[in-house]
Amino acid sequence: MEFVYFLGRFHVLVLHLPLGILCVAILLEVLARWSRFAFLRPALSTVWLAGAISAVGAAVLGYMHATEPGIEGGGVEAHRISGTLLAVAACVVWAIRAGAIRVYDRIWAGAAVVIFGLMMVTGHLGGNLTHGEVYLVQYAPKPIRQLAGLRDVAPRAKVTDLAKADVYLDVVAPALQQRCASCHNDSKKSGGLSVSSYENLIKGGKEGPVIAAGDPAKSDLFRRISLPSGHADYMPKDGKTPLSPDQVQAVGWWIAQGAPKAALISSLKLADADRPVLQRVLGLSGGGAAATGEDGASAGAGGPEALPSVPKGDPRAIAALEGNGFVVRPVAVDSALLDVNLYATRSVTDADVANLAKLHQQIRTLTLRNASLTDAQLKAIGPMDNVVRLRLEENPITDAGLQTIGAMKNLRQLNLYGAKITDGGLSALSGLAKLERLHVWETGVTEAGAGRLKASHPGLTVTLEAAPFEAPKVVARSPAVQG
Amino acid sequence: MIKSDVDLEQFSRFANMGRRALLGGGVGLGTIAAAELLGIAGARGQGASPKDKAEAPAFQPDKGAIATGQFAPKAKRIIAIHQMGAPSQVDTFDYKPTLIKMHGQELPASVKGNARVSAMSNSQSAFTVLKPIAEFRQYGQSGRWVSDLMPYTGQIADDLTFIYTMHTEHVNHDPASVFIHTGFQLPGRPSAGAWVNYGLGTDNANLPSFVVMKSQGLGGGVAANVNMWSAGFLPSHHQGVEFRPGADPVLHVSNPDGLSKEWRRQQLDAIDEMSKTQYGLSRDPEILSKIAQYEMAYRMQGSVPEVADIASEPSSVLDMYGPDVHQPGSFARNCLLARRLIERDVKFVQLIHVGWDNHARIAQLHPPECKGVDQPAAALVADLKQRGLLDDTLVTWGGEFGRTSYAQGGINENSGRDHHGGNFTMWMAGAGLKPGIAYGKTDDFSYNVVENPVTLHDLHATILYLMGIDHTRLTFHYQGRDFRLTDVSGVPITAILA
Repeated sequence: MEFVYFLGRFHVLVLHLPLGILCVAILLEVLARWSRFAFLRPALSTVWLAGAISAVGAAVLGYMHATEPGIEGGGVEAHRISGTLLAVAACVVWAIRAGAIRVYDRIWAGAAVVIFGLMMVTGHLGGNLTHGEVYLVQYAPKPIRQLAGLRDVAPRAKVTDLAKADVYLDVVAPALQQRCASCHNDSKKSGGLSVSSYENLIKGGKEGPVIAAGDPAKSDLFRRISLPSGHADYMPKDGKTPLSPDQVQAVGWWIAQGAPKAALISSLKLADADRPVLQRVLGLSGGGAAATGEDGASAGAGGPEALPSVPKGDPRAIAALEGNGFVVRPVAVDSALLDVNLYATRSVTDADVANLAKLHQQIRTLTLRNASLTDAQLKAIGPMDNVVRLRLEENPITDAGLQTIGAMKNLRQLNLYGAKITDGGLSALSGLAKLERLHVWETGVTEAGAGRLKASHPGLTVTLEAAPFEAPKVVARSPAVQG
Repeated sequence: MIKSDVDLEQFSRFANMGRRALLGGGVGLGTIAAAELLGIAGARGQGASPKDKAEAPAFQPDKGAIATGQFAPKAKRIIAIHQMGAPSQVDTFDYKPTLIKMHGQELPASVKGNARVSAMSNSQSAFTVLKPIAEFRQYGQSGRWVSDLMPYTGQIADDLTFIYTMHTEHVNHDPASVFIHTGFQLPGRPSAGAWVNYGLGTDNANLPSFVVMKSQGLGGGVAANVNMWSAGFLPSHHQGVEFRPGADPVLHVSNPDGLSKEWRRQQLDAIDEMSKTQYGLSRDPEILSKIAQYEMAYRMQGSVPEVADIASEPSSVLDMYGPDVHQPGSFARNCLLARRLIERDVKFVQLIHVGWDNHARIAQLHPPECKGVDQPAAALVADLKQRGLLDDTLVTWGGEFGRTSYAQGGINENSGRDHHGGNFTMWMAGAGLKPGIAYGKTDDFSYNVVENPVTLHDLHATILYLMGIDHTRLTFHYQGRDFRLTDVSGVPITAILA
């Protein structure tokens, strides 16, 4: 049986032969009526014979192709009838021509029209099967589209804000249209399923619904697109381009939310891990790099963090800082957030501070270690709302500087070792809800002060001096051995 | 420096313009291109031109081929501690009371299975279980079991992430060590440090970005070699720079007697000019590598002696590392230097401690090996932590394979342990990891992996991931295909990531 499928696949190849040959036959037939081209007449019977044989061959292969499980439906029937008629007609025309040329000379025009018409119809129906009904007019100018009876749906506006996107219309439907509609459309319903509209999608296919609202695991659609690509049930079939891993995850999330027909993303529960996926599917920035699927980096828990999107930093400020010895890198390849570091041990100048101030929104991690940074300069950098890691060790920062730091709401790690701060100043940090690590070795901060801050911040670790090691309780046996 | 072969192809198009065009103009494309590639600020028209000839021009550190990874990094620096010779996991971190119970008995066939046994012991008629040579006790809130031979590591156990189920196919030192560093058992590929250097460049223009320090324990017959830190097929300036013990860590960096810094600078400038002309003709990337290394050596004349001089360290810090820290070339001294290098933002420090290869007399030789590394490594982690550097530094500790739970040479006072690739233990600490956890389970005899095996490719993938890089996307095109550190496999171990 598989051999029949194998041969049947060549139908799509071979059918071009009768199309070409029969077109040439008709053309030559027309030309040959003109005395100037009378020399063509002897060739015509051969051409028509070739046309008939190739048409029959294509039809036979077509029947073989139709035995494949996925090929069924009304469109297939119409194409089959039309194609069979074409093959028969080609044979009849050749037979008449060969046997009763005078009869033929009277009917040749009509025969040509019939053959040509059958070719167009068969070809068009076949094209609908492989490419869907709207393929030819999808990008046609408006008058033609209207003539073709297509409702002109206003194209969806490009999504710029994740919250305002509609989950089905902007995320799921375009993905399914792009990758699934070539086989699962209204005229060629593989498996009885069409993804052309929400209603059809929910209705499902021959074996029932493919979407179980709220439960991706029980949704056959999701099951199939999540399988490894070599699996027999994997969709899409036949080596067609699959949905990207992000698109698969987005569809799964949509189903888990109850597969709503129309719902803004802002109204649904969006976990941190899903946000960058949706951002990438919609082409918004801040999604970071796409998950690479099978053996790339995992995008689950412990996976890459979603980064807030910010406007691009002033390039002149970046260039000026770099020219002065700073090392400025983007935090990730497609993020405008910056990792700004002064690694050279020198004093930070007011010009540096001015440039840092221009980038205050983009700075995500900042190192100004041993740079004679003063409280005033720290304040002059301005509100760094996106900074998560601040390394300011070995600078003369005092409690006044802590006031400035206390406004950096996203701060997670703060290194102030060697600064001139005391327990009193720590209260300024009490508003930093996300603070995870605070390093205050060689400062005036004591265990008591650290303890008070930790009491109000359960997730916070405060590092003072490393506790001295205890001498080991058991001395390891070490006989005198020369190394 | 050279970003990739693609840049060379662009320049080779210019080379077809003909030599005369290149040499005719005063400042040819070659000069501009070379200077720009070197990141010399003056060439780009930025930054002040040096007033003092003896000072190098403002040097923007080379940020590497990709400058930043695909994700926000957690770690910016790595200290990779390689215990070459293979420490025995059952005598350090993998606590197996069954071995005590079964001491002297034959290793069950169900445990031994059909796995290849190293040639050094496969002629043995008996594979008798040898119990751990010291007792274990629990430490900290995590309750981690650590051998009495590693008490200091036990005291920092709550900061460590243990992986018990590392495994490798290679059971001899050289291929296994080369594999651990380069991702492939045959020499010739770049090591992890070279890859990081190539990808992310350097943060401190005055120090090499990939430093290697070796120390010697008791074991003989094993030697660290340059394949473990080589640049492989990457441009050669990505090779690790070996720091020797002593006050002059890098050979031939200091000027010879009678040659002043200004003379050296003029000499380098002249060599520079000639090299750039040569580059304009031949486009050989190694010329640029060489220029880069001369410039780096010039900078290192100032920076390296400063790093190596520990006189400014307070005695409380020195005491943390133990008495060996005063001995140049010891593991303790190397740990201290590693911390100083990390403080100066060197991206990759590789410490190789050679010893451990106890095929015989393990009860006598293993404890002093442990003593030599236990306190310094623990002190390193604690010291980084108190400076807040552990937040964005990653420390790894481990050997190239494990050792057998059966005795090599029968049960007597000369018993040893043979090589065992089936499972071995590593610990990691620092940026982005969940502290105080243990990953993976081995069987009761520490002979097979039961749950969550971790390959070295997985480890490399995790390290690169913590530095913000998708390991499948840091590649170099060579010999017709794209190579990467993790070869063709590896998945980051997300379970140990915070």
